[in-house]
Amino acid sequence: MTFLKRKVFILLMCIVYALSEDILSSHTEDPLTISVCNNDTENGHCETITTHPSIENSTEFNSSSTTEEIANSTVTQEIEENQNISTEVAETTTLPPSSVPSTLSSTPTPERTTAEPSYDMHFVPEDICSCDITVDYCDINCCCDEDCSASDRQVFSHCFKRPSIAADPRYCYQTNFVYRNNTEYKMVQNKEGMFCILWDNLPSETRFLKRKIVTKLKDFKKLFERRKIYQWKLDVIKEPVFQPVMYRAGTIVWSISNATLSPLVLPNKQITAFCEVSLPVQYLIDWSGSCSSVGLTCTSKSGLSASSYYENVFVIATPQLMNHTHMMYFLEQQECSYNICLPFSLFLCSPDTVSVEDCSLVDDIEVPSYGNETGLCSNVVKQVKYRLHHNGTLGIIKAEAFFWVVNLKSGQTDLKQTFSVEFVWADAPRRVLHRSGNPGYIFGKPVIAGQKIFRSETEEEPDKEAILLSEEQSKWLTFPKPGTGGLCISSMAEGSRIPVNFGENLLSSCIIQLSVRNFSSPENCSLLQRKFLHMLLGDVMINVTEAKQFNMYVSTFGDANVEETGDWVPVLLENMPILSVDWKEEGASLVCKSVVTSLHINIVTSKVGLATKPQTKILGVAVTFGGGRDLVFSCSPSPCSSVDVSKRQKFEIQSSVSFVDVSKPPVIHFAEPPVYEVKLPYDFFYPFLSSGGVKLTYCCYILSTTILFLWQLVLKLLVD
Amino acid sequence: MAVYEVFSYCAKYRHKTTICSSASVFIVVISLLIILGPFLLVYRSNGFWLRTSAYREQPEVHFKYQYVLIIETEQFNNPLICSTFSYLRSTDHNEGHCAIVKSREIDNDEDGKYDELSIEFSVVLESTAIYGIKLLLVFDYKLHAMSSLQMESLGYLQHSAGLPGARFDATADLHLVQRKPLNSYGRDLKYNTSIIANENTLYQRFDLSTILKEYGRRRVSTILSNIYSLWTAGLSSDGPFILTVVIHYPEQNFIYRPRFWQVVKWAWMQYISVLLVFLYVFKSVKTYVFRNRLIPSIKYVPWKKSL
Repeated sequence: MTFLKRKVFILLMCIVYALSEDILSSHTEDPLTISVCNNDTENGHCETITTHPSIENSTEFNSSSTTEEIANSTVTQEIEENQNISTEVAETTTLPPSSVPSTLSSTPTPERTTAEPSYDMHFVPEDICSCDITVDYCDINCCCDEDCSASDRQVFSHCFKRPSIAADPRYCYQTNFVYRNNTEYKMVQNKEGMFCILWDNLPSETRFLKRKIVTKLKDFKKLFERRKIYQWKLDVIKEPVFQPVMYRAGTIVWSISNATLSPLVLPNKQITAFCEVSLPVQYLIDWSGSCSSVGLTCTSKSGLSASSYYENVFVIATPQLMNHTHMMYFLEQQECSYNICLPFSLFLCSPDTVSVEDCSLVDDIEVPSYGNETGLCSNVVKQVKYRLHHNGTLGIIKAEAFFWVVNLKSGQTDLKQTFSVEFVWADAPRRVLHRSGNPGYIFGKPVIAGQKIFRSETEEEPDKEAILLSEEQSKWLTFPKPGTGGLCISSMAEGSRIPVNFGENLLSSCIIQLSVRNFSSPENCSLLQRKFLHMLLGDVMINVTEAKQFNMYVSTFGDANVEETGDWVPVLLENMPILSVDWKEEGASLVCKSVVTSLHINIVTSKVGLATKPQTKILGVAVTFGGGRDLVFSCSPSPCSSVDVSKRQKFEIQSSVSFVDVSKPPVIHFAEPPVYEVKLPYDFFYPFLSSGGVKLTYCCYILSTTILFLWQLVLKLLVD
Repeated sequence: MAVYEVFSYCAKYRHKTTICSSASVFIVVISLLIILGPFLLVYRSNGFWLRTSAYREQPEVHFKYQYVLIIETEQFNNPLICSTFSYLRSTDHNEGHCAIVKSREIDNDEDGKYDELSIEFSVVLESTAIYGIKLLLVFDYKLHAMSSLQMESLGYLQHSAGLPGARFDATADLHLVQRKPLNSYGRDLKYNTSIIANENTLYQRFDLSTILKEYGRRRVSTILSNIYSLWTAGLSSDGPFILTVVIHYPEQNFIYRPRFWQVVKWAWMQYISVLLVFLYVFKSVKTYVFRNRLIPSIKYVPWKKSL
């Protein structure tokens, strides 16, 4: 026991053939034994814990006389006294010496270290003294450093360990029985295979190959061969090069801005939401983006000024025209003819306009200026839209720039700006009807809706059915859009409603402000009901008093044909709200009873057509108005008769849409089997059939041959 | 003299019958039960056909020496971008510069495959507090054991702090995330394409959200998991901001779809083990039935020439 109280412990090992688990757990008489053996291999193979034979033990081996150790398989290590260890050791067992293979029975003499060791740091010569880093200078704790004198070494606290050597996994280990590995060596068990090296009497030395140094560049490059090497790449940004060839879709549109030839760019965000980078306009690629500007100054120089987007900016119609002579002319004169360098036609749009058709052509747009009286920075660009009319191969014919300007309050620090580019065919109509898919709907495209009308085109068909389809998408299936502060935008103009897009389950809400006047009488309550319904579904709800009058049709496919009414499905009303609303005065509040404030649309869709190219089709649309809500206008504390008309209360309206896919799994349609026409000679069944030249189908032929075959079989059996 | 048995052999009784007889029907039914019974039993107890299997492998990973480091400073409208993609480098950033990047890939166990990458960035900034980093590292990821998979993969690390930082240290594992089992054969180079556009032209678009969404849509992708990160608060106006990342390439379990013969082998092992039991049981049944003449048949006795 005294021995265990010392600071020495060991990494162990050894071997025995017939030691079972129960013996292992039994207590031993001799607590000095620290070796454990086991035989858990069926072939009696010993599991040994070894380290690589090349590991020499620089510290002392410890063992008792009854402990069997492999000389070069143990590594001792000083550790602090540990109660756990002594318990573990007490539970181990002694091995009969006879069971130990003779080759393993060499037993080093134990040497005990003291609890407070006096560090005797003597010189340890080594082949490679890797801790000797300084020249002619004693390295601290480096026991192999020849520069250190014996007295120098007295101050060392320990000797640097040599770099850890990975143990050879081909040797036998049994880490299960190393209770505690307190050595610097890591044990790795060879898991690839049943056998391991127990004893190597001719230990080999593993060395890296000798490599020649390289003095020639050719040999140097050879070293890199057959190796995929990744390394830092130093490259430079390639500037886009102007080439006098025609524009193609996706190529950069060039411009002359401030007398230099450069791509036509618009600001954009990159990593933050702020305008960080300039992105070039790509030919025939529509684009829109928005970013915020900060550090606003009310000057004509910054991006807040409209002039920075058109002044001295000319779009190159087609680079083909900008050939060498023109280029030279441009470089010398700094001028460019108007058929090559197109100036922008300027349009000013009022803040509410969405469609550029409503913008007015102007000669010039004022630069931002600060009004001392108003405290506003006026004419700040909020939105820029370039519309480039092109003619395909001939390039850009006309360039238009649309500007939306706002006034900024003096304290405002940032402004969100929107930039967009649109390319239109020069000879195309002003309005282009966009399909929502061809033929099936595409996800995210608006659901097409119109009204059924009768029109008399010809005399034969005086009442021909057709669908009236508005060019404006806001007249299709749309929901009210929340504007500033969540208030519903009452306008029905384009862009002021949220389109119901195919496949998007949308929920939207906005707020309507009502004054006491809206609640003053039952008539006004009925008007309120109509107002809400109009807001929810748009103009189609005007003059609708019963469900039958509701006239709204939705195109089943994305390529709507207004002539084919069969391709349209009526929008069904599940319930019709009562238009005459009850009115009540309850103390200091006015109540309009059961007003419809919400709406839900169910759209049933299905996939049709080939499974490889499925097309989505709308099967039916049903509108459900939400249950009536009592709208209460609270006048308190004053009585309702004296409430100010300008006092407004907020009421929320909600609309939602769900798309339900009721597609059935595709069914395999097999091609019809080909029909074989077997023509037999006319007298083939001569005695049986009266007429010759019988035409038999494949089926009949099979049947007849089967009968013949069976008949022969029966005959044969009878003969046997 | 005592007598003992030196050798013995069995006498073979043979039972014969015609095709249309109850014995024939009995034999056919028994045979069908023997053949189909084990199949049904094994199939109904699930796992008859081996659909997926797993194996372990350490991937061969190389850092491609491509990175994007976005440093969010108190100038929140102008983050500092450090990158090997030169179109992203903001040289006009007036406050900072990505000065030094040190990287090392280490093969600890000398098996020819790298085990970890350690990379250190030093960013020089002038009087700017740093509030967050986003780091994208591009790796070349290869698997060999089953199907030969090679792809470009991404390690994405993001940290955002309320306190300005002087240093950020992180350690993580590069793990493969698979949506579907790997193939057990063939070459898969589907994702061996650039994640971040590497045409170094000016005006190249870089949209991080699109990059990450597209990457997240992949069937196989890598993720930095097991992250331990440390944000050291401080100001880095004097010295550089240090960012150190250690990424381990651990051995990992992969799910793959076994090949035909492996599936058949497993199925056969299960089938045959139950079949043996069935054979034994129904052999006893047949012996009992014919020995006790429960079904009429013609019995040939070996020591009699005729019936």
